[in-house]
Amino acid sequence: MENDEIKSLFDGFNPRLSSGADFMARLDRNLERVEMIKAHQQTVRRRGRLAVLLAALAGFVMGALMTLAVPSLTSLLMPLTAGLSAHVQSAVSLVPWILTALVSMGASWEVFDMVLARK
Amino acid sequence: MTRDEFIRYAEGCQEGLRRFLTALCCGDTMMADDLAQETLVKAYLSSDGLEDAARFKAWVFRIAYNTFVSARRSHRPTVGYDAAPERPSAESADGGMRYEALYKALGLLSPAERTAILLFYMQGYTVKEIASVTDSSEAAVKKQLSRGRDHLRGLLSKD
Repeated sequence: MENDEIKSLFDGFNPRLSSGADFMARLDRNLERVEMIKAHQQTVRRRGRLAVLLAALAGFVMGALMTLAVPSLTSLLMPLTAGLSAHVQSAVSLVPWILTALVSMGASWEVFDMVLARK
Repeated sequence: MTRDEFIRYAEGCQEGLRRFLTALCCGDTMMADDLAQETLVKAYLSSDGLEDAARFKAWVFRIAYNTFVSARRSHRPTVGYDAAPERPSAESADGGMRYEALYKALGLLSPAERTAILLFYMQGYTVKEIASVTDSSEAAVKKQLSRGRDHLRGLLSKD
């Protein structure tokens, strides 16, 4: 069997396919579903960006407020450490700052969660 | 590329694509249509990356080949002609029987040889174009074509 004979096998190759119109209608439906998913993903991305922005803002505001409160917190705690070693007093002085960090992170987390959960 | 443009291009090449995939799937037209749908959806999702719309057909055939290879790998076998599902109507049976020997012979080629043979003889692609579609070297394509021809000659001349 020569190359021309192999070529002629495929020249006449015309299998019975399903309707082209049906195929294109099915494709159209599939592309419609793709568009729906893309639109949904865009909405999710937009909401995610908003959540990050508001969470950052909440964290910044709480952090600023807690920082202003640090001197008051320190003055409340230091009398409790009277008579203890300098190491312990130094460690206790970090407590207001740790509290500031925890409250800021907590506020960010809560706001992030609330924005994402919103319908 | 807008959706309407894509559909226009797809309509122009869908028949050739489905014919190619039907031969690649050795006569399983349902599988070929499913692969064709998957191919065109993948093409639509990455249509922004197509720089030259004139190369749409070759680009789609490349995606079709990769989709076919992935389908084989994920154990969605393209069954041989003997195991193909019963055709529902008598008039479609004649169409299938015509190519029984060809499908059997194609089924015994490796996917790479089958693809090279189909793209060369059915679609009229050059060796360079086939290498681009299958992401292999021209030397490899020439070897696949040569082996495919030898196999086909041997299998079809036995019949």
